[in-house]
Amino acid sequence: MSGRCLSSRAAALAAGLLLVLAGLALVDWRQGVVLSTGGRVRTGTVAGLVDATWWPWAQGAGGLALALLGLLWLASHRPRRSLREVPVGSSDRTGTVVLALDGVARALCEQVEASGTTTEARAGFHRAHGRLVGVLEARLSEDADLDGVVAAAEEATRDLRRALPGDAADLQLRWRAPRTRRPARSRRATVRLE
Amino acid sequence: MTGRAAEPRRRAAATTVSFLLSLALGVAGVLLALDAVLPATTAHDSALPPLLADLDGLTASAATTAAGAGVVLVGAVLVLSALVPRRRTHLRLRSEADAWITPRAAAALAVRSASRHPGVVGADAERIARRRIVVGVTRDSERSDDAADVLQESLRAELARLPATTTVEVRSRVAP
Repeated sequence: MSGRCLSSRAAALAAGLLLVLAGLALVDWRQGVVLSTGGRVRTGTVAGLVDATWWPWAQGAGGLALALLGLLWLASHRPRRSLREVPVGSSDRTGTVVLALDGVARALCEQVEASGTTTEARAGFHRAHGRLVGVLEARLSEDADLDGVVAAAEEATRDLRRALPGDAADLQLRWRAPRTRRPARSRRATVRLE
Repeated sequence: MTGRAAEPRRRAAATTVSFLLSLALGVAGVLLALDAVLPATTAHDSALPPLLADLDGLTASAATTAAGAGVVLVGAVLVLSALVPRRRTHLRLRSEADAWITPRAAAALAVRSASRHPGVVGADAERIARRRIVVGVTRDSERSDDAADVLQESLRAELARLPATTTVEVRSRVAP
């Protein structure tokens, strides 16, 4: 499980537990089974605080802090960016040789599409557990067969291994269903006369 | 040539919840900050004093109990979203490559393959799941009954790259 997924689950769990506890307290307010609080809500003390001269500053600062926290948290949900380049084995002290992964991804897509089994291929690279992982997502073409799909996948994987030698990269290929064709609308209208 | 990438799965429900929570937190912060700034710069009054005045003297009632029950329900949904595992979305093909296909794509292949079979006048996917795909086939009435078995075998051979845990069944009916 990725760190992002784990933090999302932790946040949802914490918020859920807080809401459950708050809701139970609200239900128990009338029943008085657990916390015999009863009585009325008194907001006099808080109202006194709100009237203080320093309150607007504290409220403004708290609001800004919350907004900033929300913005940072929101930004952490943006899609993971694909790696653009990766250093290859020929790098040494005198210089670094990098491989542009955009070009590799494009070449893989074109190769898989040229097999006749695939349309709408797109690929990207990211790092997972210290390894370079390529993911190619595509749609089956209407006349694809599974043997052809598997052959295209194996060829693309072999070619990537050739481009990045030393067992440095993995490639995962995922196919969706072919796009369904909507029946063309007829320009003819049928009118029944009675 | 075994791939080590993670198995493709649907996005966790908790991710959507977390996105909405972050949005709510940001909006609440902006509203709180605006409520502090606007009274100092415009004729706008803060919303907090009237809100506190409304809450003052509030007693427990059927409405607060109902509201509490609603809050518990929302909280339970959030807890569930945090615990439910991410659903698998693809079937792994039998291959040296790390190749995956959605059950819907496998069903589309099965339907197309069945519809090209001699004696078949129509085919559609009746059930699509990771473990079981059912293809409904309408056969020409002049064909013999064992045509369905032949079709089943043919489909099994064509879809042999699907994992062993996925079965493709043919439900055959004769055209009227």
